[in-house]
Amino acid sequence: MFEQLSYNALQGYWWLIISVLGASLVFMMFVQGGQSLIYSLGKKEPQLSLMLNAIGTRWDLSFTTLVVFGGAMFAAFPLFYSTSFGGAYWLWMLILFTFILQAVSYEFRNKARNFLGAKTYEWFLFLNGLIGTISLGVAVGTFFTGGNFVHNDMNFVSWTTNWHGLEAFANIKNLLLGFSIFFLARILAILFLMNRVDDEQLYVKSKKQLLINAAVFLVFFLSFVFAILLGNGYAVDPTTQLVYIEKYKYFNNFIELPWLGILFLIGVVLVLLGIATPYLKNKKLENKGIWFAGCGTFITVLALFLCLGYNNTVFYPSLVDLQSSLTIHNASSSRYTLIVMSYVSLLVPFVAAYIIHAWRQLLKKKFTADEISESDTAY
Amino acid sequence: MSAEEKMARGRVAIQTLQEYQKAKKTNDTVNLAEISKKFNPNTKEGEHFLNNYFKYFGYGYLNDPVELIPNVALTFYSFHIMVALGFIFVLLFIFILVYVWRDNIEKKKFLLYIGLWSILFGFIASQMGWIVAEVGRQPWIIQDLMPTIAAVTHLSVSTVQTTFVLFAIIFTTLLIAELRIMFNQIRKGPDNLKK
Repeated sequence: MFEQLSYNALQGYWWLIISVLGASLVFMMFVQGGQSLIYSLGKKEPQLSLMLNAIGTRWDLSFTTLVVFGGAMFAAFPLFYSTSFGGAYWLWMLILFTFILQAVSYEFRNKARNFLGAKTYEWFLFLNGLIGTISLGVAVGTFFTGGNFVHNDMNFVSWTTNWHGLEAFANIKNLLLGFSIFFLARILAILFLMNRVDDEQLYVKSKKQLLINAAVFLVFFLSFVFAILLGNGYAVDPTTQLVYIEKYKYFNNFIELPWLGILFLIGVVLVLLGIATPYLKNKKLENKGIWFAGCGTFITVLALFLCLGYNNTVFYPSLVDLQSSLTIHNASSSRYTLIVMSYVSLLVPFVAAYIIHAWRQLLKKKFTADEISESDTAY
Repeated sequence: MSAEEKMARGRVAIQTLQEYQKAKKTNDTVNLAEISKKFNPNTKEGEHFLNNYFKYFGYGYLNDPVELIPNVALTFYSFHIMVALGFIFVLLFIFILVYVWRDNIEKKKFLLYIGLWSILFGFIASQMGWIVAEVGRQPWIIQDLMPTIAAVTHLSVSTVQTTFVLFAIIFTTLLIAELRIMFNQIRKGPDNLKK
């Protein structure tokens, strides 16, 4: 059935999948958010163990979503994969190393004779929460602001700075997105903990932290959105395939594809609603903030990613040679590859269903301190 | 056909592709059409070019026939070690199966020790297999079409070294931690035996 689709349609379908994965990833970063909160909310036991066990049952999902995102990029848009992962090398290595530390830190933290001591592993978790989120935000920021690469006619990529990706930290727009993701992750984590954990002290502290983080998040996020919408974007002429700079390109995308603009706004409103739920006097909604904010995060990031790929937009601009920039049309795999993979992508709903089912088994009731001390598999 | 001949033909193929790219850039439709005919498998000219020149595309990146030969000794011995270990596993499992059926495996201390150390053999066999695959494939990433030197990312040697060192440090540290945790737990023994 995928053979009926045109090459352009297939590329659009796969960019949708990439966007869904990117959106899922940012939602899953509530795990990282929780890790970055251990020194504010988890200063003493049992709060620390409660936090780490509540988010710990889902830590692997954030790392695996990141890997699936990278994998899908590799399969569907290999030119992006080779350019960014091989070129912006140190940026991705930094992200990778913080995630490696995350994985083991959950497992080793509470075990006797773990060589580095529990405090070190907790610090690793914090590092992953801080640097992992900001770096990923900076990396995605470069989709908007561009990278320093050139392609020769054999599609071999050369990165033109010795920083190999780390120079992205010097761009203010990238940093705005990085810090937005960091504070959003914390907001999601707080809402998640308020929903999952049954501990009075933690609840009170969380509510306080929510306001602070929400305020800072809004400052960074709105600054980023305005900077992007009011700035220059990169577009490609569909007939000549020439890349050019277009003013207000991303804003234009939201206008020319109104469903996209509406999607973005719905997402933002849901996030704000999620942040507001603990303060509404509605008892039923009080702890459901994570659902609103989580869905809102997913929808907002989805809209941002789609804005990058659709409507003849350049999703990975080159700051060195404009014509080396990547669009979903010049960076994709062959039509045959996309068709085959599209059939495989039909399996994804089954995978998602299984993940949801597994979560439900874990999510039966709220976490309490007694539950952790009785459990053999606690972190 | 000699290696030199293949390399010469590969160079012709690469040159033709570059001419195609240049014609595309300058929108030279005359040249573009002419070169496209060479890549069209339905014409006689295309069939000849594809089977006699494009087939050796990757050879055009190589300079010396010596580069075509992978490290034979490494590949040979790794493969033999891997297969030997494979047969040892089969033998070992037969013995273990026999004693499990007879229900006296707990008494076969020697076999149990071998069983324990054979875990290591599993890792060795696996790594030998990888050596065969990755050393034996040289110089090709895609047989005849792309050698590894043409496919590798443009990263400096120091970058790769630094990455390797970082991985080595991190994973060694974590290995030490893992072993200490494991040994501690093993020494303590299973919980249900404490009573």
